[in-house]
Amino acid sequence: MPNTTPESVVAARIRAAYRVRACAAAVCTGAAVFALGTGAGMAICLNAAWLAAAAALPACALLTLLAHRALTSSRPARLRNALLAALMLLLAVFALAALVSLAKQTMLPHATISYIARTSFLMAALCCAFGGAGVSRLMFALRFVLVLGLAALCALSLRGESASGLFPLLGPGAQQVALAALCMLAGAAPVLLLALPPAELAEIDEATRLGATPGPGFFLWRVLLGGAIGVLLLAALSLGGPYERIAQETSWGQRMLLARASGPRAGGTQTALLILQAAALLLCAAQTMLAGAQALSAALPRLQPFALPVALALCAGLLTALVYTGLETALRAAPLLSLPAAAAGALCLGRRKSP
Amino acid sequence: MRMGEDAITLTDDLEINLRCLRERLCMPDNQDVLLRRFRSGAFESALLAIDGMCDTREIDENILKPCMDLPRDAGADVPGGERVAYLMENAVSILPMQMKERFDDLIADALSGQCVLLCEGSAAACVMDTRGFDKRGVGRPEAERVVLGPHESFTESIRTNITLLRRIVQRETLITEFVSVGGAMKTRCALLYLRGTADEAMLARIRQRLCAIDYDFPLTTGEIGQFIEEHPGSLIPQTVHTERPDRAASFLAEGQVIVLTDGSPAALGAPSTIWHQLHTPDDTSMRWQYGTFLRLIRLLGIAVHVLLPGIYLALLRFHPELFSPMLLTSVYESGSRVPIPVYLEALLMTLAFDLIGEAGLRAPGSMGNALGIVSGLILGQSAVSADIVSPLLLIVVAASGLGGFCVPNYALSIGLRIVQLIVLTAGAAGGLYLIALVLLALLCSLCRMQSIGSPLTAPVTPPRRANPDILLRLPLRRQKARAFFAKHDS
Amino acid sequence: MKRALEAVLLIAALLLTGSGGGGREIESCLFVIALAVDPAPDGSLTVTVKALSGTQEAAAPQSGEDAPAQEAGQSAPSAGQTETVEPGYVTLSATADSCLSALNLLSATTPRSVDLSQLREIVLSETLARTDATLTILRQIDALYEANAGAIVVVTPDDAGDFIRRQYAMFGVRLSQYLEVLFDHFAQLGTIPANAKLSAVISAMESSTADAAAVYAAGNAFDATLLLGDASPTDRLPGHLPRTSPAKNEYLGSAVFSGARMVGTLTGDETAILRMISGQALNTSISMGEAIYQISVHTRTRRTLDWVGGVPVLGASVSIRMALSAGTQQQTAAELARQLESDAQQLLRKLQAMGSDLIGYGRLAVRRCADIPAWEASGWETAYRTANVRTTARVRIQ
Repeated sequence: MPNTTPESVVAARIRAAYRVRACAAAVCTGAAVFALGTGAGMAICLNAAWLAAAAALPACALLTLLAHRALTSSRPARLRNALLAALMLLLAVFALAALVSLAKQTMLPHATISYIARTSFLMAALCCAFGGAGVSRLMFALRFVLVLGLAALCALSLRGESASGLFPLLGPGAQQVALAALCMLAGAAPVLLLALPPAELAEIDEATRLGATPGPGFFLWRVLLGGAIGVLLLAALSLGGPYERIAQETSWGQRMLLARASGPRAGGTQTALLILQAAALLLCAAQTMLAGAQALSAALPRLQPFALPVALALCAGLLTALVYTGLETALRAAPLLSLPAAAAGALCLGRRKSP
Repeated sequence: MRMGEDAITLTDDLEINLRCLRERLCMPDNQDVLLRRFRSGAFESALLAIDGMCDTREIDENILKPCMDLPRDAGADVPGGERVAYLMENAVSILPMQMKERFDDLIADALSGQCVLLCEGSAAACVMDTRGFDKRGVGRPEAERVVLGPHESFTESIRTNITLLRRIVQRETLITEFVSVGGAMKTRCALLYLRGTADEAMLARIRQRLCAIDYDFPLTTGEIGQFIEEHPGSLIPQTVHTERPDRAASFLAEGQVIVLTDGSPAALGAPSTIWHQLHTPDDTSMRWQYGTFLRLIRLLGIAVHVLLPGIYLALLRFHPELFSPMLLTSVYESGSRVPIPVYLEALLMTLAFDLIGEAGLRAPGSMGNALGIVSGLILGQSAVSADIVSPLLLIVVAASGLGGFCVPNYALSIGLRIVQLIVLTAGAAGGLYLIALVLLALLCSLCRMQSIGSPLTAPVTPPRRANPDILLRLPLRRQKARAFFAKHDS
Repeated sequence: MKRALEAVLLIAALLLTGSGGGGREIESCLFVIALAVDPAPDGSLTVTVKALSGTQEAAAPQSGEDAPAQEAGQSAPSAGQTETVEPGYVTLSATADSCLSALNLLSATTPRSVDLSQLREIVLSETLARTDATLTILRQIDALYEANAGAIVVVTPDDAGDFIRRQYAMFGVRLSQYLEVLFDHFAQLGTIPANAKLSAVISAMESSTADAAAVYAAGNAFDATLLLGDASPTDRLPGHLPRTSPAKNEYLGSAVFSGARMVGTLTGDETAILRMISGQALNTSISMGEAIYQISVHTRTRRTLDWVGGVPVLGASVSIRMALSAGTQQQTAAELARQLESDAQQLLRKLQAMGSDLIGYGRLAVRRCADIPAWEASGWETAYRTANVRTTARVRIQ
């Protein structure tokens, strides 16, 4: 007979909220790995980007354990939260830059970059304004659609292609792959949003929340799955054509095209793929913006009522700067995100206070 | 105690009480008020009622006549405070009765059709249910028709509605609480729930919200629903309205609370989820295969209603490569002849369709039937012949309109019509990309909404315990759990 | 604060997302169904397009307005002529330095935006195809996002512009539909290459592990009965089919590329063998001797690349089931198998001589190399030309 005491109901609610949060982290990780892989990874090591991206998986695992440690600690950590805020906001801008590049090169080639940027930002900001619960719950609801949809559409569109696109396995060489792998470590950064408790649990007292928080394995397999999907998508990109084709694609958005449509009406498949990619990137941007606002209000409690507007304003400013300097600037800067991620992860270590 | 308009409770003096009542009820100007003094045994009594609201024959036969037929010395030794009870025990033969002392309560009861019996020397009066106003009989539901299943619907009488529910839910734990809601003019509402099934915290929230309504005259269930919902700016309703007693009974069984309003032929179920608004009683009455099939058809219709015009516009303006060559040629040739931009064309057609729908609702009976034929044949055909609209767009808008009729919940259908216009505009402005972003934003908004503290999109997200009856209607044998918002150990 | 933020964002969304999206009314587009590229005398390119006109009336003929300019030998870009064509279509041409410039010129002068999303056919003049300019032209077309990556690349020895002018839809269907059906039909016959789509051709041209093949086509201006001899009807190039077809253009065989340059042709029968070896011969037919056989779906092919003493051996193993569909069977299954082996070996030798790896043995060779520098230093191109060939065939006749 299931345990139906009020305490168990609250525990079930806490677990459900964490499940939703873990799913959100997984989607964000997959999106970040994919965006970094197509942006920086492919530019460095062409068709071996998927191999370099696999290096991000151990980093994801490590950061998950560190984030879980921070989650179950009730020690205030202003410095860590401040770093997290900066990291999450930069990730949000990176995801938006990837989204804008994708849209410009594929779905809205005649639109201006500034139009796409402001539209994407406004929709992401609206999602944030509706609250963190909404974004996480939507990611949870769409988890099968995003994963299975992308996988099914990839399989359909790649039907008949040989696996030769993966060869040579090391692409331009082991050195380039290693360099790309270093850059790809930043793809694990979204995992750190697990260090922040879900907003819908704010009403529950901390002791109860700490007592009902699931173990690290609960988050680990989900995050690794998200990262693995990002890696698989990069592999699918490599399968779509020879390495020379990837070398020819100079635009970030073009590199994100999963398999060129090869029939008069195969564009429907490609459009569906693009919409799923755009959805994942937008939700990643919204989730990380919200996490940044949450970390900001934890770091600066006086800023709490204005945390979200300040976070949105910072992202808007950064995105506008990117629009004028070129979206590729985000690509050059993105690998550096591994530094604040590593610092924030290191700050998650420390004495854990028992609930 | 000073008598007058600010008197609060009855006194021992019948004359003073009657004078106070006359003043409060604006007699003799208010000629609907019946105030009758009579001798009942050894003491004087009086009856107060409102003409037309009460059943005068019942009053005559069961109150006046028996009281007036008492012997002249009957009740001579009864203390003043017990005289009303004496009459109730020895003369009056009406079953529902309550003793009250406050003028406000007595006047409110009299205005609702009940009869008030006062006695000399008694500071309490007896209120008896002698309602006898004319009311509509139990008919068929207008907006929630089904093929299988009952065909009764609620009426404007709260008592009849409660009776309809009690006939279905014959449980001792079915509790009816009456609440007066509103500011200057109170509306009588009834809160029905199953004790032990409905969650007490949720119940307390609903009670608190109902009592907090300070609107002067909340007349209908719809108005009350607007006061107790959490997101008044949202396009999606957060409570579910039904005019079917069987549906309301199913809500009770799931742990929801039903709010009935006197004068309104609908029940309000709260909390609810978005899935409640997409399901119909036919889904459950039929076998699971048919129920699932119909549900999927309905969802497809809703998707067509919301998305088709926007997607069509997006393809025309941004993604013509997705058209098949035959279709594109046809669209290209017809589009070349139409003088207005395609967005305006789509907007006009959609609004025209909505206008026709509204006109059909408001037009008197026989005209309403003819309206569809006139508008469809003459206006549509003429518009196409005059090259004002393209035939394909007309088909798209018509298909979308048909899909709109699949929405089972009327309030939700209006909300979805507005969403359709938003999606249409997004498609015209930014193609499939902007449609996708707008839909994501709308879905985020939907996911964060709550209904009396319960997430509107649960149990899908956030995950909660549920029967396999959300999108697909699986066999009833597999549906063993109560809804997630019921009491946890029910 | 939250409500205020939502309200501000909603208003901003309403105001700022209305314009700038780049949407176009459909009637402002010029939907191109077929595109042809020819070299112009002065070294520039002439691009001819056949597009939807948006009306069922035939376009009125015009005299060549820029003919004097062209006769004077001016190299300035010029807009072209319109001709009387079947109702619903218009043919336009423009000459400019590059394909992209010519398309931009068409957009400017029409004035409608050229849209290649409905493109079904890209016809290149053989003169042009035998230069390195082919890849650049195809890339420019492909770079236009709306370009249909499934458009078939065709090479013709005739004037490419005339080729598409001759093209018209028969039996009342639209031209775009007609072309789709046409290419599907020839693909079923197995007499045109399987991967002649734009994206596949560009991929193969750019790749160092395989080469591209386009469809070879020509006009059929006369009944070439006198030139037939004993050769099978499909063992020839287009323009010489042994009957007068109602269609003015014939599609048969392959234009073979090595890198970005056309290096030769294959007849219809050779193309069928090529498809069989490449594993793309499902449900096609093949002519052997005086009989035509229908190949069943249970065809199995295997390409192998072995290294014997440092020398590559190109292996092709075919196992097919065939059913006689026309003519008289004069050979046993074993004889047919031997003939098939011989035909396959001849084809591979021919491809080796042309330096074209249409089968894709390079894709097998690249797996031996760990990285790109190793691959590029492996000297595969030379090794391929001198590789040994081994073919085996197993035939079962139902």
